[in-house]
Amino acid sequence: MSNAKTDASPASQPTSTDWAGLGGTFIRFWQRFARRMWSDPVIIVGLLLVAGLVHGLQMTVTPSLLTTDDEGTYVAQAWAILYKGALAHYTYWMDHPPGGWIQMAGWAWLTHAFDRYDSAIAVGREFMLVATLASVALLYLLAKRLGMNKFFSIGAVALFALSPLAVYTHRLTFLDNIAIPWVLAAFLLAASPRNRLAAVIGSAVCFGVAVLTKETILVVLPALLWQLRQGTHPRTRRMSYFLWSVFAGCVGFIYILMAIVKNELLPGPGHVDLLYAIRWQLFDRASSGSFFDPTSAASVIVHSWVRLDPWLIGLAVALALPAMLRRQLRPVALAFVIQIAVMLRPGGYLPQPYVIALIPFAALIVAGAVGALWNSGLLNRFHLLRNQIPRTGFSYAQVLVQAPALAIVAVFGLVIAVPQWSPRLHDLMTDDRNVSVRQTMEWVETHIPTKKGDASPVHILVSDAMWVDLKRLGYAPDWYFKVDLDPAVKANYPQGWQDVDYVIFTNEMNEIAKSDSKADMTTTLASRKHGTLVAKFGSLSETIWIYQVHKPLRTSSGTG
Amino acid sequence: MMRKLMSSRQTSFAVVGLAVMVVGFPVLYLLVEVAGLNPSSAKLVELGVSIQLNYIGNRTFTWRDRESGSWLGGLVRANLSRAGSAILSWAVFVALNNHFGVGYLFASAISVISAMGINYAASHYWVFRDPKTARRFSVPDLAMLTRLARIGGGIAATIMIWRLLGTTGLIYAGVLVFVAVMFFVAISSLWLSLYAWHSPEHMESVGFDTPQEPQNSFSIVIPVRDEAINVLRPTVQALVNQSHPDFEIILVVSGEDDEDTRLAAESLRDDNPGSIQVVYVTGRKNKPLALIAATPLCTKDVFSIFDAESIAAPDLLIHVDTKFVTSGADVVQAGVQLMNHDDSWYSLLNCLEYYRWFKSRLHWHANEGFITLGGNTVFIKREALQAVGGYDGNMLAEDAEIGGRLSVAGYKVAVAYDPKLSTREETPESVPSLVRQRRRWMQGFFQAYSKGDWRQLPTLRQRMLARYTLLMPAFQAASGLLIPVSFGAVFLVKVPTLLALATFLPIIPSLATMAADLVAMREFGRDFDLKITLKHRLQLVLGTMVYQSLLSAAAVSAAYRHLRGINVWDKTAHSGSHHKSEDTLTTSEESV
Repeated sequence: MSNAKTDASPASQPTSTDWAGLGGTFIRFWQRFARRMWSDPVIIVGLLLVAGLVHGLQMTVTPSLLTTDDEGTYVAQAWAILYKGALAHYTYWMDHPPGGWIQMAGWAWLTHAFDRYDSAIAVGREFMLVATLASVALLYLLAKRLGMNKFFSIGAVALFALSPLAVYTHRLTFLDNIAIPWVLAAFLLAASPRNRLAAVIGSAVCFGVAVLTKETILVVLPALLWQLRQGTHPRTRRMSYFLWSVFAGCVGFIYILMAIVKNELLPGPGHVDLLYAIRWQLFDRASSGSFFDPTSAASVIVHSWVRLDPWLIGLAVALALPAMLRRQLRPVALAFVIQIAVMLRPGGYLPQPYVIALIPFAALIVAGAVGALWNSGLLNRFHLLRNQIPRTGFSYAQVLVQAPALAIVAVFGLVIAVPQWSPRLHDLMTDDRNVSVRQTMEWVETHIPTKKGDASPVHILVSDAMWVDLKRLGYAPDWYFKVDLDPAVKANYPQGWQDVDYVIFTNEMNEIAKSDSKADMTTTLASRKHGTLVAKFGSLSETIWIYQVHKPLRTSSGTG
Repeated sequence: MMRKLMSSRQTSFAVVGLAVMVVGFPVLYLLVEVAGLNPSSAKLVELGVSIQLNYIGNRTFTWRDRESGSWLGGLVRANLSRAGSAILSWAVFVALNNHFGVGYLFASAISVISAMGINYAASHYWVFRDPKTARRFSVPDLAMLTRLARIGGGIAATIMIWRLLGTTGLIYAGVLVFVAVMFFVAISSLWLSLYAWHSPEHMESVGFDTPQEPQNSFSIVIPVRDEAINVLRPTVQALVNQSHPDFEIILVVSGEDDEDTRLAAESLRDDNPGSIQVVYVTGRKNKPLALIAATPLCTKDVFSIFDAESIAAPDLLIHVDTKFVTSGADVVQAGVQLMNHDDSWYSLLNCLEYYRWFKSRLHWHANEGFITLGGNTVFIKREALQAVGGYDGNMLAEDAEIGGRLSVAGYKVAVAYDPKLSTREETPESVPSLVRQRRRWMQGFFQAYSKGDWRQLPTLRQRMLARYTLLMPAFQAASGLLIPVSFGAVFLVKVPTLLALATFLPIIPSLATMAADLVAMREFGRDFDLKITLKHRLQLVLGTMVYQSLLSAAAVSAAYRHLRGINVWDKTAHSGSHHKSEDTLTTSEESV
């Protein structure tokens, strides 16, 4: 309420007494209404509605469920928590901390999500909507705490929620999307305007959870510590830092403690170990090459972002350093710059969802920098410019600064956002890129029995995108990677491809098989070689091929 | 007038609830029929929406007369309380229907009505509480109700968990609850001890104000027993030299057989003619009896106590006088600081404990309206002391106990801390005497708990706080047992991963306390111009666990003695004075 009063628009005030009668009553009512509407809770509700609509329409079918195997993997892991009581559908080898899919499982458990959808990935997509909505509210509050007024705070959220790149990646079931609200909450609490120790501890816990959700978010740590410096008073700063470290460290340490308790910290026979997982993530993963090499994987990924929307990240790169002129924007700008620097490092692994953690900071930088320009008293030191322009409410200084800012916003809005973003958003909100998967599932259900003649299960090698769905229909699907990689799974296929009944091939599997990646697909490829194509759906990246594997006559290998 | 307001508030609450329910039906209908959600998840969404609408409605209409704090904070409280009441009403339904055979419709009616009551009470006392007047609301009957609810809820929950999880599950659940309680106690006591660091405003508020014209006069009581003249003289000298113009000093000598102490006291009296009186106590000897003996001799406005081996700052009284005036308090507790941090490993930790206690935690207690006073450098208006009936001669921690009674009687307590004005003391001279001292205090807390004056505190919050404070040694005893249990659980017995992880939870507050102590130690060094080196930091990090174990051991022993009715004062009073470091040295031990 108090906010509403202070934010009353001065231009509309004098009229309230000038009018009498019905018209005056109406105007007064309207003014009161407008003032109420311009309060933070109402703005946040409005932002949630718009963001929810743009994110939510067609989110379970666009982008294609075949975009990446990761989506299916995370959803299968959440499914395994609820229905198998394990942290993963195969042996959990601590490739990522489990915080993200534990939260997803929590949502699915609360809302019976797996009962509501035929396609398991839709559950993950729905949870991404929840995460994005949380991020929207937090981002608005954070923007305000960083000194932006309501207009620019709304602008920051608009960039975050409407950029086609953001909408596209926010919809995909990635752990990064789940980590973002926690990171934003950590920044929001670190920026406590009243320097409260409680907020500092809250920030630490949120950051700990963020790291347990997606470990890569650790790279923004220096920026968060800087934010913490701005949100603490010299008299209590040391205490704040120490306690922040303890609480963030303890929450993060749960992951390592879990490994210790399960005896999976150090290498040993017969079990996975955390040290191996860390070594693999940091050093053994295939390099994505240099971003500057146009043929490298890194470059391909960056170009896929640019195709969706070059402007948000591009503008943020351009404005990151200018934004640092403003004290309050320095930490978030640093968070962005660190991530860009890590991305450009040669020889590392650049994952597809890397851009997700860039987006909120980019939005803050762009909105914050323009807002800072708009509100700056840049030219106020020149006496002449402080004079009012006759018959307007503005000073020369204001106009000289605010006109360019307005121009930037107008150009961005009219020339870029509307013509470039709207068709892409329209596609995202109307397309159905899931036809081939649906057709495949229907075909499998009608053409393949769940049990063979001798009541043994039907083994289908498949990508994780369809694993849970097949499992729930009663088949015995296996993620094609695991057949060669996981000794426990390999044991179910003593005769290799001869124990496979069907292979469902996706375009992604094709690409991996063709590429020189280190992935071992021996059994999968052998099964295809000995199979016949029985059905094919979709085209281009959404193509799916179903092969039935032909067994050789048993007599040849039998005891005779 | 009040009556009418209350009833209109309840009407408004009901109307808002009804209106939200009416809005809820179409929402539910749309979610199921148009959006295609299944009814149970649609109901969940509708419930979520209606909680927010109820909040907005009740904030705008029902409790519009309250300044209920921030909008967002209230929203969070509203959601928490509604979620809690939903779980409760579900539990009531299940308990009635499944376990007591009540028909489901009737059970549902009871659960709905109880949820409404809970929602209203939660809104009234918590969600829309007025931060300024919150303390005025109290419901005497609530104590009774909560006791009944607790017992009933406990039985129902136990049965339900047992039915759901079986015997092993029940044991695991028990362990989890125990761990959760320990975690809560540890983290909350850390949080309270950090009061001064909560915000820069708190850090400002713990100090004294600039002294003004003196307005009160002081009677200074010094209980003396087995003290050498070279210990007593600097204590008395520091008090005689106070810059305050109006005070008297009363030395209370316990023990007719203690010739040396008597001579020392008399020589000090003769050195400072007119300002010192000496009074003798015979028979049973302990500190509260000495204080009781001194009370009738006091003629000044304020009754104050100093220990025989503590050195007061010269400007202390004049600052305390001002604190009485500016705060309007009836009791002022000023800071005491142990200074020999370099003497031994435990004295460093002991010093830090005092530092945190007087600089930080006591201020929180004073603000919340339940405080256990210290036994040194404490100042009580004479009429307040007389009104509550003075000290209780049977108490082991008489200072903590009278603090509780002063709180019950509604007297205001102010705490002020300034390193330059804190009274300087030394730690107990050996580990056994430290443990004995702690045992006595802890047993004194149990004793004050059993005595039960705190039950008359006006608000539920204060009573909970009293319970929490006086039973803290029991938690300390339990936490001493937890660490071996958790290690055993992880490495010896095969328990579920989640349970093993949970038993480590209470280690988080321990680590945080250590980190906080490292910072406090640095500020302690700065405040008192002491050099804090790497050696001290190592001492702190390595010593904390051992020190905490000592306290746990003292707590276990105190609990045992309390339950067996062994009273230290009496026992040591008869054991004579042949071993100096024993509890017989009661007057030289400072009680917090």
